[in-house]
Amino acid sequence: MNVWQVLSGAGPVDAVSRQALAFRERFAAWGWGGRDVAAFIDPRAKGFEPLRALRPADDDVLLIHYSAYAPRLRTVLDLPNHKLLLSHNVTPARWLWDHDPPIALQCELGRRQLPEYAARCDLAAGVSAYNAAELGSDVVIPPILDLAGLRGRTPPSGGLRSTSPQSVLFVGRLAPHKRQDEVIRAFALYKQRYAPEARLTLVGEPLNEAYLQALRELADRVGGVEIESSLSQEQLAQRYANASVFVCLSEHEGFCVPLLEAFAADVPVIARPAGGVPETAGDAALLVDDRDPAVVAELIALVQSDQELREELVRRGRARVEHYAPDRAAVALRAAIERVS
Amino acid sequence: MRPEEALAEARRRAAEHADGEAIEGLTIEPTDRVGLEQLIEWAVAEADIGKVRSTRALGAPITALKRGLVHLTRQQTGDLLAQQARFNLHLLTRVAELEERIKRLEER
Repeated sequence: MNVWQVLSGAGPVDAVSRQALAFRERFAAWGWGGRDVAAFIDPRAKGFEPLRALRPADDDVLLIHYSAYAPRLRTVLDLPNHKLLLSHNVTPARWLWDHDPPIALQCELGRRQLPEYAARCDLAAGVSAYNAAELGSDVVIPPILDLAGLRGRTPPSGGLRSTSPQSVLFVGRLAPHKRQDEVIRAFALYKQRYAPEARLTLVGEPLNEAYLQALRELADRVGGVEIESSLSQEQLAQRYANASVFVCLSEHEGFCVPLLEAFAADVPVIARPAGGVPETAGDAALLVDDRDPAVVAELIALVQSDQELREELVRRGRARVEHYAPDRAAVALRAAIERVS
Repeated sequence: MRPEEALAEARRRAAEHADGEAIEGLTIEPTDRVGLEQLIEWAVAEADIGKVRSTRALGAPITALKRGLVHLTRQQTGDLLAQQARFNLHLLTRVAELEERIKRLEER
C-alpha cells in the first residue's frame, strides 16, 4: 500500500510535521510506500516535498493532516483517491484577533473550512476524541510520540528533583490562547509567598515579535522568568529534567503533547481542563478551572511540598504515558488507513 | 494528600491569603464582541514593514529585497489600501446608522 501524507504547512519543530514524520517511519516499517507533501515548506523542515510532487496512483491513500486554513489543498480533495482526514485542531480566532490579525483570519477560515474538508473525505479522525467529536466522528488516531529521551534524566546537579531549586515549566507556543500571562501571574504569587528563588521557564515559538515583547515585559516585572525558543530536543529534555512542576493554563488544546512529555519526565502537572486536556491528562494532572491565580499558586506550593501528592501524580503520569504508548497509537493509525483503503 | 483533595485545599489556602498584589502588564482577553470603535480602528489597514522578513538562514538580503519591493510597489498597494479603507469605513457608518435606527424603533 502507498500512503501519501498531505500537510498545509511543514515546519522544523511543529507537532504536525513531527507526527507526519513519525507516521512515515511506521509506514516504512509496515512496508508501505508513499511520500509526504506540503503546500508550504519552511526551509528548515526536512523530509517534505512541494504539493506539486503529489502524483498518487488511483489506489493510493491520501492522509490529509488538517491544522490550518488550506485553500491549496482543495485540489487534493478533487482527486479520486480514498482519503483520510486527521484533524489536529485549529485555534479559535477569538484569541488571536487582537494580536495577529492575519493568523486570526487563517484560523477563522480554517475552522470554517474544516467541516467541508471532512465531509469530502472517506473518513475523518481526530488526534483526540475531542477533535474527532468536532467533526461528528469517533475515530481517534493519537499522536505517535517518542518520549524515551525524556525518561530517567536527573537535574544537572545530579541530585533529587525535590532538593533542586523550585522550577516551574510550561512548554507551548508563545501565543495568547496558551495563557502564559496567567502562568506568570500565578508563578509571581507562588514566588512571593513561598519561594523567592523559584524559577519559571516558558518554552515555545513566539506568535510574533510584538507578542513576545509584551510577554517579556510582563516577565520582567516578576523576575525569575526565562523565555526560550527554538530549543533542540536535547535542550527541551533538559528543561523537563530541571522542572519540579509543569503548569499549563492554556484555553484551547486539541491534544496537548507537552502534558505527556511532562508525565514521561516524571514532572507533576497542573492544567486547565480546556479542550482535549482532560482526555489526555486523565487522572494524572491536577485540573484547575479557577481564574484566580492564587489558587494555581497554592497548587504549585502543594505539589512542591507534599511528597505523597508528588509521588502519586508521578505514578499516574507514568500510567498515562503507557496509555499513549507508540505501538497502541500505531494500531489506531493502521486501522483507520485500512478502513479507507 | 491525594490529588483529588488538592484543589479544595488550594482554594482554602488562596482564600486565606487574599492579599496578593495585582501585576500590571499583558492581560489576554478573547475577542468575542467587537465594539464599533474597535471596528473603525481595524477598518483602516496599515502595512507594517517590520513584518516583512525572511525566515531562512542568512535571510538578511532576502528581507532587504522584500522590503525594497514593498517600497517600490507602495503606490499601488497604497491605492488598494485606501480603496479598501473607504469601503470599510462607509460600511461601518451604515452599520452604525442601522444600529441607531433599530435602537430608536425598540424605544418606541
